[in-house]
This record gives sequence, C-alpha cells and structure tokens, in this order.
Amino acid sequence: MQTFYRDTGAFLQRLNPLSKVLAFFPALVFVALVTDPWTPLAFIVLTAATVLVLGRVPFGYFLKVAGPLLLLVVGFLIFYPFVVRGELVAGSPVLFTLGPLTVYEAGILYALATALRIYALILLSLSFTLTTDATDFVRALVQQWRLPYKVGYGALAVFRFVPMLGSELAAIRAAHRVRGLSEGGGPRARYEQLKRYAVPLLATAVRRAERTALAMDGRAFGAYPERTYYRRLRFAPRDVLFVGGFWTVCLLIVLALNAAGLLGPLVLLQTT
Amino acid sequence: MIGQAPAGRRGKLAGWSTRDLLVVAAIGAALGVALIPVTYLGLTLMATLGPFLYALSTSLSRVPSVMTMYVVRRPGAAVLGALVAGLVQVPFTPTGWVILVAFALSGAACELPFLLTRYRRFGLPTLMISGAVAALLGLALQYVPFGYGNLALLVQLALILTAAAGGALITGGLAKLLADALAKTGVLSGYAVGQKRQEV
Repeated sequence: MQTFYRDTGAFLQRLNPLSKVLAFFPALVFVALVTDPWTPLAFIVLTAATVLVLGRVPFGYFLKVAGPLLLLVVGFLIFYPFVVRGELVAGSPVLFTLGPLTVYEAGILYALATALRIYALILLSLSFTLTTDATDFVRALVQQWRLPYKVGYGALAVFRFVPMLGSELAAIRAAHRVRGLSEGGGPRARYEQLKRYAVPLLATAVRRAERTALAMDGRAFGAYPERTYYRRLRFAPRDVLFVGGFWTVCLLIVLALNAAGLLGPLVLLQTT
Repeated sequence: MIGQAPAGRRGKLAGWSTRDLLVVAAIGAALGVALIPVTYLGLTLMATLGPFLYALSTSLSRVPSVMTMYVVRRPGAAVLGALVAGLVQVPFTPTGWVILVAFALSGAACELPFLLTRYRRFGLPTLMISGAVAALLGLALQYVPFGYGNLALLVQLALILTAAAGGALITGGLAKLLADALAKTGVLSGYAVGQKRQEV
C-alpha cells in the first residue's frame, strides 16, 4: 500500500508535525465557515504554494494526488443546484430548465462556493499528509500533547500489523480460490464474502495483538511512571516561525479580501 | 483472569491491561485499513451522488468504535478503537489528520450511549442507538461546512432520517454481526462476547 508521504528533507518535513496541525487548524475552521467562492480559492492557492515551495513536493506528484480530488468540485456543481432551498434562489435569473427541474444562477454560485470550500478543506489536510511521517505524528502526540503513551505506543505497535494484514489478505484469498469459492454475486453473496474475508483477518489480528501484548508486558511496558524516548521531538524556533508566518499570511489574505469587498458573510453570522 | 491490569493503579486508562489495549488497537487497525476504500468512496459519493450515500458511508466508518466497545466493554473503548482506525488512515488517505479528528469525535459520540447506561448494557438496542446517535451528531457537524442548511427542507428531513437509520442498522448491526462471527472462532474467549458464546 502506498503512503502519500514524500520525504524530501525540506522545511515542512523537518517541522514538528503538531506545528503543521496548529498552523492549518484556524485556516481550516475559517474556510469551513465562509460562504463566498474567493476565500477558498485564495486558500487553495496558498496551500498549494506552501506544499510546493516549503515542502518541495514534486509538482507532477502533487498534481497526481490533488487532481482527482477536483472531481469533488465538479460533482457538487452537478448535484447542488437542483436541491438548494427555494428562498436562496428566489429572484435570481433562471439559467436553464431541465424537465421539471429549474436551475437558477444563484444555485450555481452557491454550489461553486461549497465545492471550492470543500476542495480547500481537503487541500489543507492533504498538505499535512504529503509532508508528515505518520509515526512521527504519533510520537509528537505522545511527547508534546500528552496522549497517554500506552495508547500511542499501542497504536505504533499495531501500525506494524498493517503490511502483514495485506499479505494475510492475499493468503486468505488464495485459500478461498483453492477451495473453489466464487467471488461476486448479489448482496447476500457480498455479505457472505465480507464475512469470509473479515473474520479470519480480524481473528489473526486479535491473536497477534494478544501475543504482542504479552511480549510488551514481558518488557515492562507501562510498568513505571517514568518514560524515556528513543526519538525526541521538540518545538524548535523554526516551528514558531512557521506557525506565526502561516497565520500572518492567512490574516493578510483575509484582510485583503475584506478590503476588496470579496469576503462574503460567515455562516454563523448569517441571518437566514 | 489473564491480562488483568495490576490492581491499585489509578488515573487515565485505569483497568486497561496491555492486552485490552492491543486487542482494541488491532481491531481498530484492521477495520481502519479495510475502511480506506470507504473513505475514498465517501469522497466520490459526496461528489457524485450527494450527501445521502455519504451519510451511509460514514456509518460504515463507525463500525470499529462500536465493535471494540462491544468486545472489550471498558470505558473509552469506542474512542480508542476510533482513534486507532483513524490513525491507521492518516498516511493512506488525502484527508490525513482531519479524518483522525473526525474519527475521534464520532468515537466519542458512539461512546455516549454506553456511558449513559454506565457501561452495563451491550445488547443490540444499545449498539444501534449508539450508531444512530453518532450518525446524527456527525451530520450536525457537517451541516455548516457542507452547507446542508441551505438544502430544501424535505431533503434535509430525509437526510436526517437516512443518517439515523443508517447509523442504527449499518454501524450497530454490522458491528454486532462481525463481533459475534469473530467470537465464534474462539479468539475472543477472554472477553464477555466469547464467553457467552461458549455457555450456549
């Protein structure tokens, strides 16, 4: 299975994973609340620039990942205009009629704004995934944000199961095929199939978990209140620089949009 | 009983042995990996067929929380199961840590009904209520960013009903079916689900 992480050794990759969460979180909340199409657009550009410049993620690779997600934008454009609430489109010019369905201009604009907003949210989270090692993220959660280390290291131990689950699945499939069990069919057959794969997979996972737990207990996991770490993560000056810088740029973008009169009302402040 | 946590320890995760922790994590991880296609499907469904099927697909992604709670029956099991299922998805899905937060929140929502019964009832009704409550809370969170509040009223109503029914049947029902099928293999003999099975 392929992970999205690209270790280019660039600025973003060397940051503490949590500082990326801290930097992107206010932007994410803000974008989720705006109603105009320009703010999400600005944040889409900002995020793409951050990933490409500070993360040095190859441009082709970025397009390969972010491109298919544009499907979302297109999908919202198709679905939304037909089901938008009546009052929203009242008084707006009719674009075209399709049988009993009427499409208004306001409906299209609304769909566009929503689609762009969702795309901006996805890109903001994608930029984290592209530049962060998941195990470092868990380490940082344990060391900086006080996630109980038993949970964190339990999760890390189980991370190691993931590739094994893949080979396990291949073995189960081969075993079924040898016995001549067919694949496909109706919903009933699908459910049977799900059970045939899921149950043995879960059973091996649980067995392996119990053995691993025994091994961990044998090495005094969680026996002492004091915990030492092999890999230490910290908040360095560059983390402060990044979080502060990103917030400042976001603020400037919002102020600029506001000055240009492009910033629509926020959802929470709307009266409708 | 084997794997019991040492007596007298207090604080966070009291009563959780390493074994419980890893069993929950393993179930969460296995289902989390299995749910990766569902996350992608959810993204495309949302794009092509709208919020209805999306609401159903998120019900599917709550199966790990309810299932781990049903198996281990300890406070926090639903949140932990969801947390691991979400963590496993972080490197493999474009939505990264945001999906982790979403999983953690819906895990907490699944936990709520069990908390209200003070972790004493684990029958099918409780599991279904847990799934439905989580689905409704999840839908409420999507209202603002996805702009559902601006959909026609009837569509909104249908959406709420679909989410509740989907949560009850898919999350609650499937979690019980899977856990019971798993218990039949005997690997859960250390837990209440497996023991009831052996008495019969």
